[in-house]
Order: sequence, then C-alpha cells, then structure tokens
Amino acid sequence: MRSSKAILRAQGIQKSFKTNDNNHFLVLDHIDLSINKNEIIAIIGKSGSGKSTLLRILSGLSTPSEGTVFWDNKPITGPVNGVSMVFQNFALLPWLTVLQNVMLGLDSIPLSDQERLERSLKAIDDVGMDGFESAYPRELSGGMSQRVGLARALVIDPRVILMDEPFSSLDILTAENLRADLLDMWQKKSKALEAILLVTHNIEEAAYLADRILIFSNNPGQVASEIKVNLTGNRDESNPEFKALVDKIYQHMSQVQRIQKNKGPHSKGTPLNYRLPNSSVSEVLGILEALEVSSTDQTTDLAEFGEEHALDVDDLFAIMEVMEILDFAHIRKGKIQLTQEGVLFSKADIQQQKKLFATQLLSHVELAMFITKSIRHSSNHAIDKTHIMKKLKSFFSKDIAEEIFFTIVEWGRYAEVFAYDADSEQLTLEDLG
Amino acid sequence: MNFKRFDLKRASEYSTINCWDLIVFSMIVALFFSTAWSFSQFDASLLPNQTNDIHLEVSYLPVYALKSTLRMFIGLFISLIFTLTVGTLAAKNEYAERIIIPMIDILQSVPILGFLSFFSWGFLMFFPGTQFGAECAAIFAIFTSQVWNMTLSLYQSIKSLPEAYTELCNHYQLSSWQKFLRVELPFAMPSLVINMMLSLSASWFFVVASEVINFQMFTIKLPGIGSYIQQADDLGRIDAIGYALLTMLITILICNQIIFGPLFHWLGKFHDDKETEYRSWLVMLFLRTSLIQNFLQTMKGYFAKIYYPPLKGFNKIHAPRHHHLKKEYKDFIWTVFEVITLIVFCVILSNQLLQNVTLPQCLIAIQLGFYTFVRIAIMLILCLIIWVPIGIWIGLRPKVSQKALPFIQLLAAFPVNLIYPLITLLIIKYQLNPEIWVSPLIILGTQWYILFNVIAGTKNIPKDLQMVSNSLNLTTIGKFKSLILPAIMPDLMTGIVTAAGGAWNACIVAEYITWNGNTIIASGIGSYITEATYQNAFNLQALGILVMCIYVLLINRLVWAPLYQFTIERFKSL
Repeated sequence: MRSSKAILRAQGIQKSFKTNDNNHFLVLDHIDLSINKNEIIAIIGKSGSGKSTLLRILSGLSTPSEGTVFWDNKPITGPVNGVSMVFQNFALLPWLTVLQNVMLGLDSIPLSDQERLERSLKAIDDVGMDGFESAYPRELSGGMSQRVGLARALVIDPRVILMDEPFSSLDILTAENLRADLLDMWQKKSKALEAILLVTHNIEEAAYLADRILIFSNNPGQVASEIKVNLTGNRDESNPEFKALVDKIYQHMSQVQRIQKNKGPHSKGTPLNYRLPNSSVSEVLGILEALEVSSTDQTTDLAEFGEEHALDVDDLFAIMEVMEILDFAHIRKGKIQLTQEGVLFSKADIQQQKKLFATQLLSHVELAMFITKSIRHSSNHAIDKTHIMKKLKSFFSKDIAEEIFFTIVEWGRYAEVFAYDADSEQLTLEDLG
Repeated sequence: MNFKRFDLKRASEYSTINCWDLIVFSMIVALFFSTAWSFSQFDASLLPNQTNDIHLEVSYLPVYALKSTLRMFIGLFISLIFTLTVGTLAAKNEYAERIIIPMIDILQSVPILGFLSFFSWGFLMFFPGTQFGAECAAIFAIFTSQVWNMTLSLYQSIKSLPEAYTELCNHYQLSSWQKFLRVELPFAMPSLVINMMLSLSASWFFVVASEVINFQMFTIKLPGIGSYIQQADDLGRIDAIGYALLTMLITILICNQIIFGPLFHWLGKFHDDKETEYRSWLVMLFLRTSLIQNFLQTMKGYFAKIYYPPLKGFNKIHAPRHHHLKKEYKDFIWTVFEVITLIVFCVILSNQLLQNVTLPQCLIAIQLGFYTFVRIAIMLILCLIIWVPIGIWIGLRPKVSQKALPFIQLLAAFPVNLIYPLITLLIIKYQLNPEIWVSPLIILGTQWYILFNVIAGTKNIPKDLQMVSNSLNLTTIGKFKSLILPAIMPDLMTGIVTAAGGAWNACIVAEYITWNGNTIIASGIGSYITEATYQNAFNLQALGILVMCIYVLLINRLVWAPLYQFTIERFKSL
C-alpha cells in the first residue's frame, strides 16, 4: 500500500527566538520528517517540546528560521491549499451556525453557492452532525464541537489533515468515541485524503491511531526516535501486541528523558541554562506517595502507573523529570526506581519532607544555589526579580524565563529556602523574614 | 446561499397575514412617517441671526423631542462610521495606531462644551446664510460626546482577538476584508453595542447643552428639547420644565425598548454562553408576524449575500515577509514626522490662539482651574462616602440589584443640566453661597457611574468567597476591608475615573447658570470659559480650555493611570 513518495516534507527545520543578549533560544532543531501517502503519524512529546510550533510550520502558518517545507516537492511560502487543520479548542466562531462555520472553510475557494452548500452539508453528514446545521456552537458539547471542527477541516477535501491535540480538551469517553469515529472515517475515506498528522500527549491515543509514532525530545525540540507500528488485530487493551506497543512508547519516552539528563556538564545537578519543567510541588508529592504505595522493591512500571492514574504523558514525564533532577527517583527502560532519598521523602512527615526537599534542591539545582548565593551577597539581603530574570533571559525567551522563575519560586517557597514578595517583587532568605 | 431548508418557521403558514402583522405594520408606518416628517422640518432657510420661536406649549414637546432624538441618532450614525473606519485602521495599522490612539486618549478627556462656540463659528462660515451650520455644530457636539468610547472599544476588541481565530483566518486564507466582516467585527460586536448605549445616554446631556449656541451678538436656538428647556429657564416657567422632564424620560424609555432591546436580543448569539440571553418583546412580536417575518427572512437572505461575499478566486498565497531593516527605517521616519507635526502644531497654537494672553491672565486661569479641581475632588469623596456603601448593599442582594439597575441606568442617561435651574431657584430663594452650593451640580450627572460600577463589582464577587467570609463570622467592617473593597477595587476605579472625567465637562455648564434673568456664577475654570464665550473673548476662551485640558491630562497621567494600573495588577485576580 505505502508508497515512499512524501506529500509534505520538512527538511532541516529550525525555529529559534531571540533572547535577551541577542542569543537565540532554539525551540526546534534539525527536524527532518516526511508525511507519506496513506499513513497516520502521531507526534508525541512533553509540553514545551515545540510540537505545536512544528505543526504551524508544516501548515505554512508560521515560517521556520532555517530549513524548508516541501509540498509535492515544491517549497511552500504560505498556507497550503491541500492542508487542513483541526484546533485543540475547536476555534468555532460563536456567531455562526454549524453550517456557516463549516462553510467558512470554503470561503477562499471559487465555487458556486450551490456547490458550497452541498459540500458543507456532506462534510457535516460525514462527521455525524446531520441535523445540527442550524445550531450555534454554544448549544454543542465539546465532543460535538470538535466534530464540527473536523467537518470544517474535511470540507475543503484536504490531502493532509494536521491535528493539534484534537481530543485533549474532551473527557475520556468522548475522546475515545471520537477517536474511533476518526479511524472509521479514515478507513472509508474519500479519494482526496492521503494522510493525517496529529500531535498528542496521550500515549494510548498515539498507539491507537498511528502507523508511525515520532517521539520528541525538548530543549530544543527534536525527533528523538521513531516507532513504526505494525499491529495485527484489535488496537485495544485485549491485544497483547497493543500493550507491548504502549510499553515501548513509554520506554522510548523515558529514554529521551535520560539522554537529556546526562547531556551537558551537570553531573552534580542541572546548570543555570537548564529548562526546569513546569511542575508544582504538590504534583511531585502526590506521585511520590502513589509510587511508594504501588511499588514492590521500589520499582514501578511507568506504563502501568500512567494508565492506572490516567496521567497525560506531559504531566507524567514533567514530574518524573523533577524527581530525577532532585534525585528522588531514576527512570530506566520504562521503570521508575525510587532512590534512598525518595523512599525517605515519601515516608517523612510534612516538616521533614520540606527539609529533605531543601537539601536536594540546593545540591541539585544550580539556579536555587545561584539565588541563595545572590541574596547572601547583596547588601540588604534581598534581590529583585529582574536580577534573576535577566540571567534567565540570556538563555530563554521571556515567557519561558518567566515560567522557570515561578517554578523555582514555588520550589524555594515550599522548601523554605527563600521567600518571594509579589508586591515588591523581591527575593529574600526565609530566615531573615 | 439557500438557508430555506432549515427554517422551521416558514413551514406551513406561507404568505398569510395574521393580526401581529397589522400591529407591527402600523408601528413601522408610524415610525417611518414621524422620522420623515422631522427630517423635512430641519429648517435650512433661516438666517443665522433670526431666532426661532420656541413655544412652551405642551403640544410642541413631542415634535421637539423627535428632533432632538433625530440629532442624537445622526450623531450616533456618524460615530459608528467613524468607529468602523478609524477604529479599525488603528487596530490594523501600526503607524495609524501610534497617532490615533493617543489622540483619542486626549480628545476624550477634553471638555467638548468649551469648544462648542468655536466650531459653531466654523460651521456657520461654511454654510453662510442658513442655519444648517448651527445644526451641524449641534450634531458635531453630540457626535464628539458619543464617538470616543465606541472607537476605543472596537480597537481593543480587534486587538484582543483570540490567537486561534487569527490562525483560523490565516489557515483558510480569508482576505482581510472577509476576516473583518466574519471574525473581527462580530467578535467586537457585544462591547460595541454596550458602548453605543452608553454613548447615547451620555449624549442627552450634550443635546440639552448644544441646541442653544451663544455668541456675543446673537443666540441661535435650534428647535428641540434643549432649546425648550433653555426657553423655560429664561422665562422661569417651572411647569414647562416638568413637562420637558417627563417627555425626555418617555423618549429614553422608548429608545431603549425599540433600539437596544432588539439589539441585545440579537447579541445573544455572539456570546459563548447561554446565560446572557435577553429577550426583547419587540423581537418576539416580529417573530409572531407571518407576512412581515416572511419578508424579513427574504431580506436577510439578500443581506447575507452582500455581507458574506465569498470572494471567488481570491486564493493568493501570502508570502511571508522578510524586511527587518526596512521596518526600522520606516519607524525612524515616522517618529521624525510625528515630532515635527507636534512642534508645528504647538507653534500655530501659541501664535494664533494665545497671542494676546498675558502672564497674569494665565495665572488667574490656573488659579480658577485649581478651584474647580478642589470642588471636583471634594465632591468625588462625598460621592464615594454615599454611594459605595449603598452600592455594596444593593450589589449583595441580587433581587434588589435586578430591580434597581434599570432605574440607575435611566438616571445615568438623564441629562442633569435639566434640573440645574431648579437648584438655582433654591440658591436664590434661600440666599445660599453659590461657591459651595453649585458644587453638587458638577457631580450630579456622573455620580451614577460610581454607583453603577460598585454594584457591578459587588455582584461579581465569587459566591464561594462570600460564603467563606460568612463562615468565618467576619464582622461587617472586617468583611468590607478584607473581601469586598479589594474585590470591587478595579470596578470602583473605573467608576471614579469616568465620573471625574464627566465632572470637568459638566463644570462648564454648572458653574454658570441663568434662571429667569438671574445669573449665578461660581468661580472656577468652567465659569471662566463660559464668561469668555459670552464676551466673545476668543483668546481667553482658548486659554481657559487649554488650562482645563492640561489639568485633565495631568490628573489622568499622574493620578488615574498609575492608580488604575496598580489596582488592576493587585486586585484583578480576585
């Protein structure tokens, strides 16, 4: 079935944003990928790995800093006609009816009114929304809304559909139902549709839908590994092959994580230019306690654990990263192993936990050390937020720097290592009040 | 486009007439004829120095009311056109934005009434020998009182268009015209309509103030409710003022019912949630008709065809732009251009308008400005003491606020300059000191903004926070300090700023009042400007306005803007 000829091909894509000192913060680096005929590709990775940025570059909405996207072997310079997009939050216009929303997709295509109407009605019918033509989006549930979003994507008879986490804002059952319908549509698809690329942070979703799974690493976003899916039989829990695939994805993902941790000169901890994951302390606490309960000899299977607690990979791996940074746990081949500190921590009471957290924070995260040192050295034992932000902004874009700042502030506050006054925007040492 | 298939209403009773048709039809005919008639009555033949006779008989009032209303709607129409063009331009073009937005910022804080006789002259010169110029001047004054908030609202809406919609438009390659019609304008619609309503309310004040235009040699009175009131003031006819009040109330009510009722009904579909749905009896009446409904549906189909033109073959691929250097270059030239324009403008202003002004005169104007400033400040504080507790009391009781809000809206729309004469009467009768007793008049019209915003803010306090404070058994004062005041702070600030802005404008009318041949003057920059107008001292008038503008701008920049910023940052998350 598969022909090797790529419909949409990205070559040497790089995307960077300027940081403070005219440095560049790389979001995407060396992306080479091709979308071939008759395949569904899933891109999976942690949040902040630039997946959505890549999708926008592929669709022509955004231009890469380096590299080229080819459509039928011709470089693209703007939105491509044969590509449709499905948005995470549906992006339906509330003042238009379902029919009008779908027709919007045909606005820039020269057609007669009759054709326009017929094609829109057919698209609505195809996604099972017949009867809802004159409804307004506010009358629809999330699942229904995304069906309309899908109809709007289908109405232009696209060759490729790009989906940006299309089911992530739906509840579990609705998402499952929609996924099944999508696969159904794909199998009896019309002549035009040749491929689907979807970005997801749900491992089961990727395993369920995709013929090929690309796993993204972050900082910068790169294709870390690729899994070809050749499943026979049903794609659900009952099929051991399916379970093995899910396990394999988890393993690959944890592999990606490990590679990053070992990169760079931080055998003792993460350097200042390390992008701390945006996880809150309470999530880490929750996972640690859950791990302690479920683990035998301090080892837990990541895939089972993720499934059992219905965790998105984004969240799960971000929290795992925190635990690795703080040396509470190690992840090897899809298995989590608590360290001595991790076990101690999960058994400690609140005050002891804080102390332990503080010790780990100050010995493993250079940013925390940098902040406490700066405060001690300043004349009035207080430093401004801008001081730290300036440092961070020399490595990262403003938004990311801000995100990292508030992450470290939360950790520091919890560990009672330093305090932050939001009114004066100053950091002080906790014991100095 | 053929929507017939989904139109349930037209199913069976195609082309029959029901009784609702007759009712609606007669309404339409009445509205049509009265509008056409009052248009025909705009008398363009009079010489500017001939005075219209304003009759105080009650039978004239409906006609006058109709004419004033028409002026307001013409103003509103021009405001809408201005908003759609200038507001959109500012939102879409970075260079236009840099000029338009600061200019509107200044213009909206400038006392419009001070300029009335200035531009009346201009319009009279432009249409010599007729009263058309005066008509234009009045409409222009009304327009300037309506337009700024509308333009800013459209600008802000387009600027804050969600990223997803922008991407959607780019992805489906909508032209910028299609994008404007289908996405940006509908997105901006709810706040634009609310601002139109506020504008219409605010412009009643200006209708009353601008229909009588004073010059040294003569006075022009345009037939309308404002002139009627002025005439009643001059003759000391208190009964006539009562009738005028009643007429105006009825007019405001009718306007709200037949214009804004249906508009809010229609706006329901622009919202994401179902909660905000509003049903207008008028729309329901139209929906019950058969023939008219049929006709409207057909018209709607045609309108949709014009409004949503599918641009055939408009399928250009936009090449991404790469000209960073060029942009910096352009920016530089533009900045130079702005600075030069500003300098030229200042030179012209100081040479032309202020040529005969001496330093002592300037000092006097500044001193008088300070008096007005003190007056406004004290009045604001008094208003806060009175209205904040009352507003909170109302806001905490959903049933009361539901009943009270329409009344407050009505009061806010009510032009208080109507009752100035009544207060003058009291001042004369009881020999009160005008310096003190005129002060309340300044804030009388704009105080409602404070009350209104306090109620709105209190209503929006999350219920769970209220429950927490109840369960903690906080005292009334404790609750006020720890929950209510911080929560309503952003709204309260909006209210205070709006009220203060309106007060500066009001002082031009309020500090100088005539009643039955008596004139009451309170020293302040407002009476200074009005007196200069009567004496035809253009340079002093210009000086007065300039001083007032400087006060307003300085207070805005030094007090309100930072305070507002602080409040937003500190309390917004509540």
